[in-house]
Amino acid sequence: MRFVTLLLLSLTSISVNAELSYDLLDKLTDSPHTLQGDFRQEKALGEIDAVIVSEGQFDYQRDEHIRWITEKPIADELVMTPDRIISRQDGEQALTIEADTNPTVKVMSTIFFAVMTADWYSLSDYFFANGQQSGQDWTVTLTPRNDVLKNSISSVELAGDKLLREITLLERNGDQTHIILSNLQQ
Amino acid sequence: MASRFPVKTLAAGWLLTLLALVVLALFQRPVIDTSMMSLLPASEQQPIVKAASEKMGGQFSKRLLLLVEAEDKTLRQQQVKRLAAQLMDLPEVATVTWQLEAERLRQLEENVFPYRYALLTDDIAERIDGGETQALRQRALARIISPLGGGRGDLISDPFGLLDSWLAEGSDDIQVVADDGYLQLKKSPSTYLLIIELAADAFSIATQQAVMNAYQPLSMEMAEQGVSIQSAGLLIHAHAGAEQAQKEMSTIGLGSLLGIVALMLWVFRQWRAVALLLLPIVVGCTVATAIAFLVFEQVHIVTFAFGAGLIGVAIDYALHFLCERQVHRRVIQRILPGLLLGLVSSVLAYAAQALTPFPGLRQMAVFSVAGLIAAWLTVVLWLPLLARDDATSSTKAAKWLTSWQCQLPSFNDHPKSIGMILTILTVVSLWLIYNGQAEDDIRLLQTSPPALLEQEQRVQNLLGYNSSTQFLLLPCEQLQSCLDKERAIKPGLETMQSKGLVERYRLVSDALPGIKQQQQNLDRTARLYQKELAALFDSLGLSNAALQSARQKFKAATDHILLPAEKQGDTFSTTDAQIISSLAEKKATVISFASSQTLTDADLAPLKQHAPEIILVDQVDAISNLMHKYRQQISVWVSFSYLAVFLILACRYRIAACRIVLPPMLASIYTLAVLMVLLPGINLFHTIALFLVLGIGMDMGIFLTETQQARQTWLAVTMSVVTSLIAFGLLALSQTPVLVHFGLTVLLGLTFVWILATLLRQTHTQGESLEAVSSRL
Repeated sequence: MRFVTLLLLSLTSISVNAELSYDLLDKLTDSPHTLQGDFRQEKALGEIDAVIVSEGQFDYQRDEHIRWITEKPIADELVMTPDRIISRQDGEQALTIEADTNPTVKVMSTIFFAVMTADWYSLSDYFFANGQQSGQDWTVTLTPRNDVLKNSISSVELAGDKLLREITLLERNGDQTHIILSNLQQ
Repeated sequence: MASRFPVKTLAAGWLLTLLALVVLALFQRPVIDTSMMSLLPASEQQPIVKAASEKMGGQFSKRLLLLVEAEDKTLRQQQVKRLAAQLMDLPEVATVTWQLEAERLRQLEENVFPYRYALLTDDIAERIDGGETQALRQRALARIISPLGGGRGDLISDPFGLLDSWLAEGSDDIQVVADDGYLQLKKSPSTYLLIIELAADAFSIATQQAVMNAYQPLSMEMAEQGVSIQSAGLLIHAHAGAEQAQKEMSTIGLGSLLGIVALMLWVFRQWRAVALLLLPIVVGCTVATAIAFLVFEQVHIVTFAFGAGLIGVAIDYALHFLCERQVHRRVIQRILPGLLLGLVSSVLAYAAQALTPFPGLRQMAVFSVAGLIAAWLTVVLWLPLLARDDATSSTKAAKWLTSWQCQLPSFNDHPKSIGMILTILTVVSLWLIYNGQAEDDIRLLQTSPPALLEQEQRVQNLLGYNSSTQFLLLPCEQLQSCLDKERAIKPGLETMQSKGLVERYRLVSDALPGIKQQQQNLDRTARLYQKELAALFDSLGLSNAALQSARQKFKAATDHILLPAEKQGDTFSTTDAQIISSLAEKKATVISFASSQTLTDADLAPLKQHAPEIILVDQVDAISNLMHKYRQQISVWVSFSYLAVFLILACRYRIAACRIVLPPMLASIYTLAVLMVLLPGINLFHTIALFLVLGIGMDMGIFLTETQQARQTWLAVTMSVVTSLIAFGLLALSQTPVLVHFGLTVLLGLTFVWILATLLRQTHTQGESLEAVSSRL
């Protein structure tokens, strides 16, 4: 019986903490109008024990777009706007995805926009948040609220100070994407 | 006399029969039908076209869409659940779809996963065919390194993301996404969708009432909470139409009854006479309704409108009896021949309708014949007993009428001038009819309140719904050849799309490619793997072992082909609905499209090059064509009825039969001519109403001839015309188009009949009382 009470208590504390977390993040982080920097992405593929590394730059303009320019291993430019995602290779438009036709992409672009703008509350529609703070540094773990999202995402971990520094996406199939942002300029 | 005929026994027998009929009919569950379609005969299209039209029409008529909109998400979700629970409880509702479970969605994707190598989008297939495989490798790379995640499938089973591309293309068409498992509209995120499949016909009033009673109070309650509900579906329109028609029928019925009672009171100045006159009407209408419900599964609302014509005829018999009774005691024996002939000619005129292929007309025929016979029996068997010691007098009114009529010109007095006028009028009318327009468009008959139509349009826009009533049908011997043919005409459809002839289209083969196409796709995938897989894995720095296992996966799946059976039961795909099977083991696929214009056969030229057998099906057009065809046929039937009645009358009256037949015949011609001038065109229902002009007009002529135009008979027929005018005149004020057509036609027709009968009257005997006439006989 005590165990159950404890469990309930701990569950309650998580949810209380979760609500607090978004507030906390809001206080801790800046919400820049523009942001540029470099990125390094390590994608660990669960089933074949391989890590695919890509590097490049990104450029963010509030309410307009995030440009994700990969330089290695191929030149590729990804432009995310609130409505769609356009992929360009050698200047040629290779792929356009309307955000509302692909729910996974929509969620991912929402996450991207949210973390870049520090618009934490828009994440609360999709995720429970649970975080820790030590001084200016913080980490937060997002777990999906709805079943559709749970089908593809296990969790998302974010870490940063005044700005976001690291994103880790854990997918259901065991893939893990780790993104490190550096040389950030507002 | 009464001793020779067992009058009382017969009267009692009739009473028992009547009661038995009513009791039997009460056990029947009355179903009232309001669909204009069910008045029309089954179409004579090819079986496969018919099967397709029925399937598409059935799906359309059984589907009800509800959109629940509220800013507050929790409230929205609660209300959707409430609505769904309420509606699911109804036996009239087959299914309510409001959830998109994540598990089910994943299941659907998993179902097609084994076939990913055989399911290529057109773009990918074209690039492989065009040797642009390098671009596909670049795209695959971009996808793999994208921070947004690769989506479904992994690097080994589907490195090029073939399934992802295929599923993404398929979902372009779907306007709904899952939001917490609810169906959320892409175009309006604060709106959820409920799809209701009815278990029964949307035109059944029982279904309409059950569904609307469950949904309307909820919808009002929700509106107070700021939740708005919009609906689309045939049921909503059918319900509005039925409600209006029922409301009008009852107000019109009551209105005519009051008018008729007032008129009779004025003439006879006696309640008892009024009761006697109303009795045959009541009995006639009761028996007609009882028999109609016993004989037919559903009785059409128009049958009742047509039945209003019964009042005029039934009252004719009773008036004839009462008026004659003022002068003769043994009245039945005297007037029986005339009454019988009147009945036989009317019954024949109505029964002729039963021979037509119209389900609607057959019903009206049965209704009218049953009602007439019942009214007639009531007059012949009951009135003599009931009216035994009555001394009704209508002499005053009859005299007043005669003196007024005497001032009117007559053919007897002015044969040349009236003959000339009638000839000119007839010629002009015939010319007008010959050059007149017809308006057979079914859409003009089935109207809905503008607010409902607007709502329907809004819902369709939000859902990106196909509002066209046209579709293409591609017939074939076997489904696979249909799918192959669809591939062949797809470039043609794209041409039509670029010309703006169609906005969107949906092919079965886009969701379920033919076996041949899938085999070609497997070959394409083999080529793609051969050319690009090693390079792709190399640039990602993957091991040779990974490359080998990816190749192995493909090899193991080279015989995986998606077959139609796999697609069955997929609620979110329209594939099932688009495959048509007819009895002759023929198949066809439906190609639905959205277009802002009405296509013609000429527009299909780019498709006919590859598939000359393709058919453009226009359901509205098909019904309008039927209306056109049967309008012409009914005109012929009316003419035949005149001929038949004339032949029967000629046996008794010789040349005087002309005097009986001419007024309704000329009246019908003039009526048509006036309608042609007044309206943009006439339709089927105007011509059907001419049967009533014939029936009532003929009775009038017979009675006048029988009594040699005695004063009382003139009063009787005039009252019969006036009562019909009251009934049908009110019908002409209705909002229901069919009722207006009926009312206007009979109103004009009977007015002309009376005027013509007055013109053609025999002036040397008119004005005499019946005694004078009978003394000469």
